[in-house]
Amino acid sequence: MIGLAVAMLAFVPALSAQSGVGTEGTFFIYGGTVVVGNGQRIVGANVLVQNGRIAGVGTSVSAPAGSTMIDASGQFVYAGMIDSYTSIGLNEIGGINTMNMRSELGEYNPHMRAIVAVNTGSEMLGATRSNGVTSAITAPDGGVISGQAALINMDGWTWEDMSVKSNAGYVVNYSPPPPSPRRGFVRLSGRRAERARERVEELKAELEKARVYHLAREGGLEDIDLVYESMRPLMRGEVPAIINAESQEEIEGALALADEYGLRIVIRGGRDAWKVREQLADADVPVVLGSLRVTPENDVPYDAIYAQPGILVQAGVKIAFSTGTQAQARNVPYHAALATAYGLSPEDAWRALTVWPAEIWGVDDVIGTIEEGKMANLFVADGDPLDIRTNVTEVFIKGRHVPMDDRATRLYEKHDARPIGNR
Amino acid sequence: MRPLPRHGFAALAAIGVLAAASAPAAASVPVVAQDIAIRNATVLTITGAIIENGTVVVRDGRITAVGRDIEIPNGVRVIDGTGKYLMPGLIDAHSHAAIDQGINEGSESVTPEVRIQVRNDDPTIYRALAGGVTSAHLLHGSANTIGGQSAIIKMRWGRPLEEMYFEGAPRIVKFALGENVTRASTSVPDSLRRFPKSRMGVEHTLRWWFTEAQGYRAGWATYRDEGGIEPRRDLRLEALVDIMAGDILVHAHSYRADEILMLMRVAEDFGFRINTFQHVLEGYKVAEELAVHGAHASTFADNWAYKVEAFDAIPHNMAIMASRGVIVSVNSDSGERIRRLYQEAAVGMKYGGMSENAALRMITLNPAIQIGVEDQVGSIEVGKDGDLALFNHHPFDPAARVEMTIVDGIVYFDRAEADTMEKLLRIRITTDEDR
Amino acid sequence: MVLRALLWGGLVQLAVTTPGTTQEVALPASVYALVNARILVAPGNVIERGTVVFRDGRIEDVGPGIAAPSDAIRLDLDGYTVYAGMIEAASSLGLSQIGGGRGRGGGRPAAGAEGPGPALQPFRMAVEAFDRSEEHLETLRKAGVTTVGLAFPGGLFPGQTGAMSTGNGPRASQILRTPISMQVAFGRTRGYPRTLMGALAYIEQSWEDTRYDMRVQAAFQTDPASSPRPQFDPEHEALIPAVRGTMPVWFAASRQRDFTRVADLAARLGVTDYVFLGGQEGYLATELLADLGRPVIVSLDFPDPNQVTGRAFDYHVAPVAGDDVADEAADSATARATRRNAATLVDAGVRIALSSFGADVSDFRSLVASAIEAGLSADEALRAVTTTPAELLGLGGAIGTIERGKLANLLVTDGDLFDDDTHILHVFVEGQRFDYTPQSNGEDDENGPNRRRGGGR
Repeated sequence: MIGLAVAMLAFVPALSAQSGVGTEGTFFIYGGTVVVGNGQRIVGANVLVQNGRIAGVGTSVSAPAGSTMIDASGQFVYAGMIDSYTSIGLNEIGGINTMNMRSELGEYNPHMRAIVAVNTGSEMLGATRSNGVTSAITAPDGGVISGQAALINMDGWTWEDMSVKSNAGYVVNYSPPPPSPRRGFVRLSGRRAERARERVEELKAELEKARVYHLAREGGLEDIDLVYESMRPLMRGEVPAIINAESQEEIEGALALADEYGLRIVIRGGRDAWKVREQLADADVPVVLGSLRVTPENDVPYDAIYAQPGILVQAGVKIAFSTGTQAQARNVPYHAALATAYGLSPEDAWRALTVWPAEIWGVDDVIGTIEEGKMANLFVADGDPLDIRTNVTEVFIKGRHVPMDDRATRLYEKHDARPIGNR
Repeated sequence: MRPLPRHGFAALAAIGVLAAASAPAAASVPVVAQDIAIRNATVLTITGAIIENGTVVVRDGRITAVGRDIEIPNGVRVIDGTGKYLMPGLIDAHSHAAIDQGINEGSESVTPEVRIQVRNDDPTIYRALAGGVTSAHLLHGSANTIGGQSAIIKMRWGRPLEEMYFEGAPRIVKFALGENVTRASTSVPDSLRRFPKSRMGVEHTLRWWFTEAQGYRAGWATYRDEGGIEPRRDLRLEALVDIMAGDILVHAHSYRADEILMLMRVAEDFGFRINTFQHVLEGYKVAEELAVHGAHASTFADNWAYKVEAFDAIPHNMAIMASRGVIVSVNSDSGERIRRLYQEAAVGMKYGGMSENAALRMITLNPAIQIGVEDQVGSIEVGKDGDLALFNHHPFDPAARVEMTIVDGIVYFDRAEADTMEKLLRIRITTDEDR
Repeated sequence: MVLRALLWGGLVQLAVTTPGTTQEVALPASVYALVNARILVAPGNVIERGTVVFRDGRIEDVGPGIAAPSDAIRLDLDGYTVYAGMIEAASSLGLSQIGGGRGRGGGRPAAGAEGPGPALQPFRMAVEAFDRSEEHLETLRKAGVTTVGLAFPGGLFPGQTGAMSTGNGPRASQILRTPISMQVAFGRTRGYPRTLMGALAYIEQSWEDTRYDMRVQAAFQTDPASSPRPQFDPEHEALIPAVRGTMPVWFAASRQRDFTRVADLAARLGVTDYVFLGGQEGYLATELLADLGRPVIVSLDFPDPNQVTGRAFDYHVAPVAGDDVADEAADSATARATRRNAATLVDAGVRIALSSFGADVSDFRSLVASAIEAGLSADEALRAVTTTPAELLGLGGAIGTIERGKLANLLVTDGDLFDDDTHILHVFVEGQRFDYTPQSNGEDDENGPNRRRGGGR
């Protein structure tokens, strides 16, 4: 058995050599400061992980016989972080078409399910989880309705095993018709403006058809159309539309669309969300912020991007952080860190990495805090996760103790071990 | 240290160097400088100890005093640094900001005769100041095997073009290897492609052109010895000759270990050294060779998988190279990263365990060394330029931000005076003053 | 109306080309005496009431108490003013914008053998390339321009400037001087160079290549046996006078940083006799320009305030409320500064000519008027459209003032030349007479351009 495994390892090309899939078992994480995630911090507390779940949290929790003991004294225990928009498992290396199959042909693809295309062998998984980011939304791209984004764990045997929510939201790319000419706004010229208007009308028509179909199905229609069938959770309000919108016009258009069709929506990107924060708060529409590692436009203050999270939270908008690509998810806490330098409180920053995305994606009963009964997605670190200097020492995903090595650590160990003076 | 012009080319080189780095002779513009003092801050000197409750005095643009109980002369503007951290102004060893009308002269693959032109009104300069950056090395792009010569500027936002240049900075030229040069990701038919198309072709391009340059140099030597008609002055070959003479430092965009090694061997064959490898994401695989050759490295903290040659990039790169004695800096190569180089430097501590000061060096003294201005900037020492960045917390702290950025003793960025979102919206976002 | 005008235009055309009844300069020209006029002899030199006599296209006499010759056609200009015809130093009317085109295949592998594109034609003469249509000439005359300096827009080495009178007749008869200067701009090609930095290197290399060709040519003349075979590249041949220093160079420079760049380049090339063409942001570089002491042909094609260097220095924020007042205030302050450009330069001691380069020459007068409104003195404005451009074109002794011996280039107006309400009634180009009734200034000419009128109102 072992020999076979070794032989198989020898066969596996370097590009796909990765570990992962943590060890099953009962784990007793003891002596650390547990940051529950609901505001509570318990010093010298223990966390019991059993059968994939958090079986107990607190100072009086004890270890069952046979538990694997994990010493967290002097360290902190946190709920695993969530990157709320990536292409992990769908994209691998940029620029290589065969490694990036994130978008399908056609404009209206609500029936495309990202979850089934997630590559469990992706190197991105190891890179991401080793810094305590244990789940992420991975989203399809392209067209007007790209497909269904999935919330996945950064470890598992199969995509089924990795899935936390296979349909977390329908990715919609909404381009509203151009507004009336305004100072500083780039006007779309003739044909392009025409086309933008057409696309919006088409989208509305699709939503209308989906609604009609849904009602018909409720009324007993037996003839199934797979495309419109896939939109029924949206029609029922169970799953949101994740609308990619950056400018004020786009966000307002998305809000209007949601209002008109009674949709639950999430704004993704939201570069100018601060301009319409009151409307967002009133409509109870959350914003998954795009990467904070971008430059602002030239007509806003230099700190626009960094200060926005704090502004939105202050206005009552629920936010979550995202990195937007496949290879930067491990750095999502440092996006949050930038926001804390410009007004966001560290507590809210933490919420925007854990509890709030869990709520946005409808899985707050499953992940987001260290509370009994929830899925055991958590990590141990020697300091504040928003501090780049902090080291993550242990990671648990779905109750499994995940090995901390990844592509980077393997290359590091190999080349750091090269004897000095050897050429 | 700035290399001296060679005798034979003294007159020509002098014009070249002066014209690149200073105002025209007829109107020499003195750089505006001022006095300022920062009191009672935690001073990160880089080359010395950290000074708690320290004071730094700048007179006429130069640091004149650094220490604990410093007397500040009358009339000098005093900035209260209590609770704050003062470090040398950050230096970005790889930027394409503020470049006027063309980053890549990509029409031909070897163009060392062209010189990066500066645009002094690029808002990126301002945003860089807001991130504590006081000088930047503006490079030619990576479309060419041998690109053009750089411009090195100080972020003197608002000053005219002739005042932007970093006086005394050496000439630097850009080489590039790998996918960008070979246009690897394009699907153009071979008949329409520009040579070289492969890494092998890149080596040939280099050898061919330096051989031509040797011939050119020999022709001029013959003329000087034997007379005759003065040869045609070829600016391109002349630049290559200057490179071989060490009068122009070479910074080479590179990713893969094999091409990094190749370039070092080619340079050695033609009698010169690569001063700094840029990006050098696989530098950790040839750290030994880099150290022996004497090359420095300027890299990304954590940027990988965006193309094939970046797939073996690891964030431990900096630490490994540094441990082998390579002088390492971390750069931006973007208008975005230049705003938070202090975050990038912290990554060195996380991956591979660099010390705090070693990490800070990567955005101060080390890039200064790589662009040949370490005598003037890169640390807080008496005699160096008054280029400083004042942070609210330690620069590696998660809630760190720049409060003030000073160049030559002049405050070019002051958050208290700047347009901010809080001012725009007339709100206070943070209620906790001391975060 | 239009038909009538066409008819008249057609008739006039016939009149011009039918032998024996034409206005051609070659025929014995008229002698004119413009009497009782207010005469602006030169900037700052006014004769309140005097007479100008010209014969055979040359000014014969001018003064307060001059008698009109008996054979002169007498125009009583009581209540009118006579100006020297304006000189547009650098008009690109009738010259097409120089686009990209193929660049030089300087390095290896060689690019196409078809030769350089339109951006690299230093041998091209503006006076030959000028589309000298009736429409263009009329536009110039109606704008009050009697001498047009022709300059190419865009390009890298777009060609050589020249000056022409704006009268009718064969092209050769109207050319006043060609070539005048070598134009250098920082345009691009589709090949090498493709960038600004490439353009600068290319220019410098061209200078070196030309010098080398000159050396070899000279050596081949004196000692062909020991000299390589000379090359005669048309680009280099055209550059020789500029390289030698016997022909001035006109560098295109509009932005603050362009002046620095040009000064730097000129120093590298060893060019000392040069002129800045454009100069729109000159007011941001007065110290440098004053120090350099080179003339500036200031274009009145005012830049968009949003695009002016330094606008970004405000790092201006557009208020959320949608109130653009602050933005507009900043814009109008910048706009004022750009219009005040000429005055600012003059105050700093820079020698300027005013030009419409880049804008519509038919707006020339009103553009100059806006410069005056922004602070340029009337005398300086007049100087900048007469004597200074005359000197820059190398024609200082022939045009620009109303003096004996100079060409009879005159404007007759019913008021101050740069006043909005003023009309140009007569234009004389080397003695050729063109009449413009007040309605005909910019509208269809019902009375024909050459209708004689016997003076008076």
